[in-house]
Amino acid sequence: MTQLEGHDLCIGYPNHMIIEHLNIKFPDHQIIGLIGPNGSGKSTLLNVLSGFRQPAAGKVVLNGQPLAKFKPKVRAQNIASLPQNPQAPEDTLVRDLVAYGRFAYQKPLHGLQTDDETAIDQALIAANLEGLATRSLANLSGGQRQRAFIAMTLAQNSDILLLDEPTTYLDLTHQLEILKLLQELNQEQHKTIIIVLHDLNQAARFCDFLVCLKDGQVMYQGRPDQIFTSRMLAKVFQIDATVAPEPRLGCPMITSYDTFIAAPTAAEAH
Amino acid sequence: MIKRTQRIYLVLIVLLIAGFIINLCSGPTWFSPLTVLHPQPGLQAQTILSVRLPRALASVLVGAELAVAGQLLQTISRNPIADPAILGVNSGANLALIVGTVLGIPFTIRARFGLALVGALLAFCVVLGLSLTRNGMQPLRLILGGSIFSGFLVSVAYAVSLLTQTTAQYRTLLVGGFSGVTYDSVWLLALILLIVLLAIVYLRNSLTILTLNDQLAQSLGSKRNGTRVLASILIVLAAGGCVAVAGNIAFVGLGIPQCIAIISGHRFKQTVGQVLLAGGAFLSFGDALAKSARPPFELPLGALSAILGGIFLFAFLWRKQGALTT
Repeated sequence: MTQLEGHDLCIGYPNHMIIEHLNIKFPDHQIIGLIGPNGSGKSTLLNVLSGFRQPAAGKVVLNGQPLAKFKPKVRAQNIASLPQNPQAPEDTLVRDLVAYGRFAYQKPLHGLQTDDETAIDQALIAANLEGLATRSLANLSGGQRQRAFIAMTLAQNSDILLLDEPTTYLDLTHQLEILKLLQELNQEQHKTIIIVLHDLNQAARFCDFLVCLKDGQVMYQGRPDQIFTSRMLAKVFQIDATVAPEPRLGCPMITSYDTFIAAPTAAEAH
Repeated sequence: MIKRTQRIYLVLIVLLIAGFIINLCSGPTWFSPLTVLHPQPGLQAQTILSVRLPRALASVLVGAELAVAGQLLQTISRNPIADPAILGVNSGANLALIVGTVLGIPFTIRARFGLALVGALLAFCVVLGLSLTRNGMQPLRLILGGSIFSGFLVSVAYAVSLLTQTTAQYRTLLVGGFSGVTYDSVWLLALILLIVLLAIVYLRNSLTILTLNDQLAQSLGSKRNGTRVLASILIVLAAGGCVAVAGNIAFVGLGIPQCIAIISGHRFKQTVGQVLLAGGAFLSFGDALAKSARPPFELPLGALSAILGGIFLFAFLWRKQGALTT
C-alpha cells in the first residue's frame, strides 16, 4: 500500500467528464511529475488529490483512509499543497506567512507554541529565507516569493507535498533554485512530492517517476529512463522529438523537436 | 514596525476619547467639557446622564460594530468593497421594523431588536441562497445578489412607509440617527459587541487565513464554509442590532475598514482592533455634528456619514496615490 492512491476517479461535470475511471498509485518518498498537454487533466487531478474539489465518483485514499473522511486540519497535516498563483496580502511578513502553515496544528485560543516556532524556523532555513524573515511579500522577488510560499507548505510538516506548476513565471535561475530545493527536501526529509511541470526536460531531470496524462487517461507511467522516449512524446504530445542522454547527468533529454509533417492522405494526393 | 502600530493605536484611542467627549458636549446647546464633568444638579445633570451619555455610548458602539461587521464581510467575501448594507442585512432589518410596527408591534427596543434580527436573518438567507452554487458559496454572487436584493428591500420599505403615511414616524429608521436612544439600547449594543469580540478572538486565525486565496486557505486546513457561516451570523447580529437602534447608517462598514487597510494593510488579526476604534471614533464625531450643526433639527446621520466618509476615503486614496507616484 502506498500513502496516496486514486481509486476509479471520475472528475468533471455530469455532461463533461475531464477524467474517467482513473486508477493510480503514487510511489512513496519520490518526486513524481505529472506531465501532459494542456487540458489533459493534470491540474484537475492535483486539485482532487489536494482535496480542493470532490471527484464525481471514485475516491482518493490517503494512508488507507478515504481522503473525504479527513477533517480539513488533519488532511492539511498530511498533505500540503501549493496551488497555482498563490496570493496573500502584500504586507504579510515572510515569517507570518510561513506561520500560517501551522494553522492546522493551532488550537483556536492558543498562540504559536514552541514546536510551531521550531517548525517555522526549520522551514525558513530549508527554503533559505532566514535573512528575509522580516521582509514583507511586497519586497520580494518572484523567486523569493515562491520560496516563501513553499516554506509555508513546509511548515505544515506533511509527508506529502503537492505543487501545481511552481516554476511558472520564474526565470531559469529561479526555476532551477525551486527544483533543487524540492530535490533537497525529498532527499533529506523523504517527502513524497507530486508536481505538475510544463518543462519536459526539467520533469525528466528532477522527477523519479513520471505520470503522463492525456485526455484524462494515464498513457504512460514509470521512471524517466524507462518512459521518456520519442515514442511517448509522439503519442502524448504529438511532437517529433529526438531524445538523448543529458551530457552531464545522463537522464533523458529532448535535444531536438518539431511538429510532425502530416503525410498527405490519398484524397489530398488525388 | 511595532512602533508605528503603537502610534496608530495611540492616535485612534485619542480620537475615540475626543469624539466621545465632544459628543457628550454637543447637542442643541453646547456644554463645555467642565460642565459635563460637574453639571449643575437638576435639568442639566439629568440631560447629560439620561440623554447625552446613552447617546454618546450608543454612537461609539454602533460605529465600532458596523465597522467590524464590514471588515468581517470584506474578509469572508474577499471583496474590499463589501458592506453589510450590500448583504441585504441592513435593509432587511429596516423593512422588518417598519412592517412590524405598521402591524402594531410595540416600538420598544427589545421588540425592535427582535424584528431587526428576524429581518436581517431572512434577508441574509435569501442573499446567501442566491450566492450558493454546486461548488459552495460564490463571493461575487453574494455581493451582486445582495446589492440587488438590498435595493429591492429599501424600495419596499419606503413604499410601505409612504402608503401608510408613516415616513415622519420612521424618519430615524430610514435616514439613520441616534435621537431618543436609551440605556436599554446601550446594554443591547454592549452585549452584541461582547459576543462579536469573543467570537473574533476565537476565530481570529481562521479569519486571517481567509485573506489568502481560496485554494491556499483550503490547503492550510481552513474550514472555509464553516468560518464563513459563523462570521455571517456575527455580521447579522451586529448589523441587526445597529439598525434596531440607529436605523440605516451608510459608509461605516465599508469605509472604515478601507481607511484602516490603507494605513495598516489587509491582514485581519493585525487590523481588527484598529477598525473597531476607528469606527467608534468616526461615528461619535459624526453624531456630534448631526445633532449640533443646525439645532433644533438633526441632520440625517446616514446621509451625513456617507458624505463625511466619502470625503474621508477620497482624501486617503488621493494621498496614497500621491505617495505612490512620488
